[in-house]
Parts: sequence; C-alpha cells; structure tokens
Amino acid sequence: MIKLETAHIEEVRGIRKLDIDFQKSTFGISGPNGSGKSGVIDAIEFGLTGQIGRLTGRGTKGLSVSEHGPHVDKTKFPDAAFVELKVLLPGIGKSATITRKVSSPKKPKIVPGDEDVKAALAEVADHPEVTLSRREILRFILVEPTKRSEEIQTLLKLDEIGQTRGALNTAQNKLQAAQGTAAALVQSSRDALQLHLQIPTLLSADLLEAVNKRRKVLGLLEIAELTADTKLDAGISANDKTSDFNKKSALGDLNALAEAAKKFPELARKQAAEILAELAKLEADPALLTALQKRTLIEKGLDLVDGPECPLCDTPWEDEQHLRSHLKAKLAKSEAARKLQQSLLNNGTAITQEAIRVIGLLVPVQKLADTLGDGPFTTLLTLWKADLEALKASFATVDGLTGLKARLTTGWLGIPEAFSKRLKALTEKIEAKPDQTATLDAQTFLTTAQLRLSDYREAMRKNKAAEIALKSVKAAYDTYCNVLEDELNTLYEEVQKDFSTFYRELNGDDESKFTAKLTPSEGKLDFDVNFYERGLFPPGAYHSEGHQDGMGVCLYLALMKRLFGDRFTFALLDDVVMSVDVGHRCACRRRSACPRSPPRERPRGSRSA
Amino acid sequence: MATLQQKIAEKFLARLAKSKDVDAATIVELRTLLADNKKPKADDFVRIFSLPAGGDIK
Repeated sequence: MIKLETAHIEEVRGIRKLDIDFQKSTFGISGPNGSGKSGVIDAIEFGLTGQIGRLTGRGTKGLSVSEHGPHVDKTKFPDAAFVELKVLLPGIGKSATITRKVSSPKKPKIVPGDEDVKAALAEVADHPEVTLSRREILRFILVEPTKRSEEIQTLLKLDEIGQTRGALNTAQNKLQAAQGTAAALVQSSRDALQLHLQIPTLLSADLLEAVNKRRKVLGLLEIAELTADTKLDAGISANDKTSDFNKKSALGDLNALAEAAKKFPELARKQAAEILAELAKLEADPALLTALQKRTLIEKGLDLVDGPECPLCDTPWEDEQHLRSHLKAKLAKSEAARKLQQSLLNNGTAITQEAIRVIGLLVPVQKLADTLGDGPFTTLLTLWKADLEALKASFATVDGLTGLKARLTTGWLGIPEAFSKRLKALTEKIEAKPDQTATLDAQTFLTTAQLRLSDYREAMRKNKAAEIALKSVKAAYDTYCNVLEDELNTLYEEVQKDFSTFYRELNGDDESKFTAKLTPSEGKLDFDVNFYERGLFPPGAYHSEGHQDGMGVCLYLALMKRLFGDRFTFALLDDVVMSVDVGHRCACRRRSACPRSPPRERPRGSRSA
Repeated sequence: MATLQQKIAEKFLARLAKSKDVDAATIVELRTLLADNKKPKADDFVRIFSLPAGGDIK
C-alpha cells in the first residue's frame, strides 16, 4: 500500500491547476458545492489507477475518462490534463513519483522505474476500490442479496475464483458429453462383434467357444484365455488371409441392418418432437429467442475475454474485471433461455447417440457392398454415413439444431430413398452365393472376428479413458466447490465480526451491543443487523440514514481488511459520511486512523469548511 | 499475504491429492495450470483430465 505525499493536478475534471501537500497524513477537504472537492478525489484516483470511478458503472453510459476526464475547457487537449503524485511505498521503503496523462491513462511515467516500485504501484492500480464514494457505499448495504454478493465478490476480487469454478463446470459438461459418445461407440462395436460371433452374451467363455470351434476346423491351437493381446486369428498366415468375406457373418450384418431399419422412423422420435416444440416456443417468443441468441454469443465472448477489450465488439473497458462482470450480468438475466438451451442440447445428445448406433450398423454393410463391387450401394452408404457424422456436430449446438428444423420434421435420420431396395438386392446377391467351404468359412470368420474385436477394444479403451476423465473432473469440481464454500464462509464470518466491532466503536454511545449477521447462500448474501436488541433486521428496515452510512463505512473497512490485511493504509472517501452527525463522524475518523481531523487545505475556490 | 484465490487453490490441490479419483500426475498438471494461468479455460481442464486410454475385456 502507499501513503500520499504530494499531488500536482492540471486540467483534470473541475481543476485547472492545484498543488496539495498531504504530508503522508490523513487529509480532509471541505467546501461548498462545485468547489472541486470531488475533482481532487477523481484526479488522485486517476493518477493512481488510470480510472475515474464516477465515470464508470451504472448510469454512466456515454461517459469516459478520455472525453470527460479533462477540464471542460480542455476536452480537445487531453494531453494537457495530467496528475503527478509523489507517494511513499512503506512496504519497500521507497518514494516514487507517478505521472499520468488523460491522453494515455494506461502508460504512467514512474520514477524511479525500479521493478519493486512498479509492482507496488501496479497493485494499487489494480484496486480502484481504494476510492469509495457515497453513491457506492450503500451498494453494500441497501441492495438485494444477489447484488450484494456480486458487489462484495467483485470488491474482493473473487471473480477469478468464480471463473475457475465455471471453467471446471464447463469441462465437466464437455467430458460428460464425450463419455456419452464413447459409450455409444462401445455399444455399437460390441453389437457388431456379438452379431458376427452369433453368441448370446459377450463373455470371454462364449467368445472363445465360438472362436475355438473355427480354429479346430483349421487345425490351429485352441485359445485358453482371452487377454489384452490375444489375436483370434493367430496362426493363419498372411497368404491365407485373401479375404475377410464371411457369408454367414455378412448375412447376419445385412439382417441386423434390415431389422433395425424397420424401427428407423421411430428412432429418437420423442427427442426430435421435443426439439421441434422447443424451437416453436422460441419462434413464438422473440424475446426468448433474442435472449438465447445473445446467450450463445456472450458465452463465446466470455470464453474469449483476455484483457479489457470486448472480444465481441472491440469496446475498450476500464479493465477485464468490469468487462467480465458486465457479460456475466447479461447471462444471469437469461435463466429461462439457459433452461431451454440445456433441454435442446440434452435432446441433441440423445439423438447423436442413436446416430452413432446407426453408423455402427452401416459400416460393415458398406464394406460388404464395396467388397462385392456394388458401387451404387457403396456410394449411397458412404454419403449417408458422412451425412450422419456431420449431423452429430449440428446436434451439439443450438444454432445447429435450429438449422435442422426441416429435417427433424421429415425424419432426422435422412434415410436415402433407394436404401431398402439396394439393401434387399445386396442380401439376395449374397444369399445366392454358394456356401463357403468349412475352411474358408473358418478363416474369414476368425479374420473378421479379430477386426471387430480390435474395434471393440479400441472403443473400450477410449470409453475407459473417458470414464476416468469424467470421474476425475467431477471429483475436482466437487472439491473446488467445497473448498470455495468453506473459505467464503470463513471470510464472511471474519467480515461479520470486524464489521460489528467497527460499528460498535462508532456507535458505542447507544449501540454497544450491536451485532450483525452475513448469511451466504447460492450466490446470495443476506445481511441483517441488530436494531437496539429488538432482533435482526435488514439495515434499511429501522436504522436511520446516518447509521446506514456508518454501516457502509464499517463494512467497507472490514472488506478492505480482508483484501489488504495490515497493509491497508490508503483510501479516498468522497462524501461517505454526509448523513452522519458530528459525534459519529469523529468516531469514523478515529476508526479510519485519522488523528488530525480538521482540514488543513482547501482546493482553490473553496468557501467554507 | 496470500490472496484468497491462492489459498483456495492450495487447499483445493491438497484436498484433491487425497482423492482416489485423481492421480498424482493430474495434480501436478493442475498445480502448474493454476500457478501459471490466473484464468484457466475449460479446455485447459479437459486436456488435463483426459488421461491416456486403458482397460480391456474382463
């Protein structure tokens, strides 16, 4: 933290030229309205942080430091507007001068340019909350619990924590979707293997029985145990593997596809209908549609934020924190849109998994058609498979689902017109083939079994990895939330204790038994205070405005203590105790470590104390 | 003075290290991410938690 030695202000806000010697001590400024008191606060804040709080935040649209920071007669000459501050940095035992021009607020000149000096001043620049105005002070006291929670979390720089929790949650959702896809691929490859083996269950005993029956035909050694590196076709020479076409297996694949095709029109019909109903709801409610579109855009924007410039519209913000808060506030307003978005994506995921199963049935038949030289059917199946693969991406986003409305109405699977006819023709062609010799049947059976076992193993490995990843990220997310909750509870308990102590110091004359209660819960922070031992009530219920101002100062001091610890030595307070009577105002000054309260200097133009 | 963020990160990693669901290599990666990057992205976590494949038919 710092102590202010001197300030030289030129052409900033209402000040033309002013020098103040603070003597590293508490300093009070008084004067009539418009005499420039707040201008001094603005100038010092600008000198330290490059920002002017009065020109940012709610109700300041259209205001900016670059346009409204210079004196009104110098708006076209921002280079003439600057502040030079001499500060003491007790932590490193050095003094430094920082000069900041309105024309380049982010590039202050710091002398000496030592790294530790720059770091100490950068810390202050990162804490614009050292300035507290009356307008801001009540935001902690007289606001709804959700807003209070946001304000306090912003003040304590807890945004970062929220971002980490949000990123972990998003990662959890992504890994959950990935695991769902991996599981669908396991089922599809498992079905293909089991179909080929023609066994009731895929237990290793059943698998080995079917395989060893063919190995015996070929005079090969039986496989006693199925291990991770077992090759079902071991012993068959490469020369003998002239083809993996197995008539019985081929007919099994064709029949499986034909049977499944009977149910294709009903496949995921419920989910498709729900998506259509949700899309219709969006069309009927333009506000909801706009909220959803904005939500999608803002989510993308939030993910891309990497500095104070908005990635969506290039608007420069005071800092990244303000930009993030702004985008999050917009997201929070669209809860109904969020629920709809989630439902749409859940249904999209369910249909994707059905698409994976269908692809699993198409692949072996596509290969058969190719092997047997059925060009048109090969092309049909290749295009259909590619279409379904592309469809998976569309089902993963709201924009993609919106674009599929017509297809969801006519049948999302997009069954090619000639499919049934060509499937039947290929089946008849294979049925017409002479039965394979026992030897060839055994060879091709084992070759195909090995290929499908490899596919299944690969799918299993990927699914296992996806399960482990999901379990890990769930554990991490839960742990992070638990730690966060514990720490925030501790923090609020400490703030509550300090706040009560400070307030009792201020109002010891009539509220010596004052207590307060901060109760955090799911993004809210309830705040109740004891009213003359009549019970706990919201601060605005019975306490006077002067008492509420006092509470604001005490809560601010308690929060700054959490932020800086014993290093909190500097604050710019602007009219924050305006409604507090003289006696309590003195107590405020004592609490703020202000032993010499009378103002020693007035800005030019001041007329009264 | 450690910031609240740093305190939470340390406690998070210490508590997670006791979990049987997360291995030591992942903890090391998480520690590096949280130390290096104050604004971890979801995809950073996806990368860290996506472990090499394993498992077979039992």
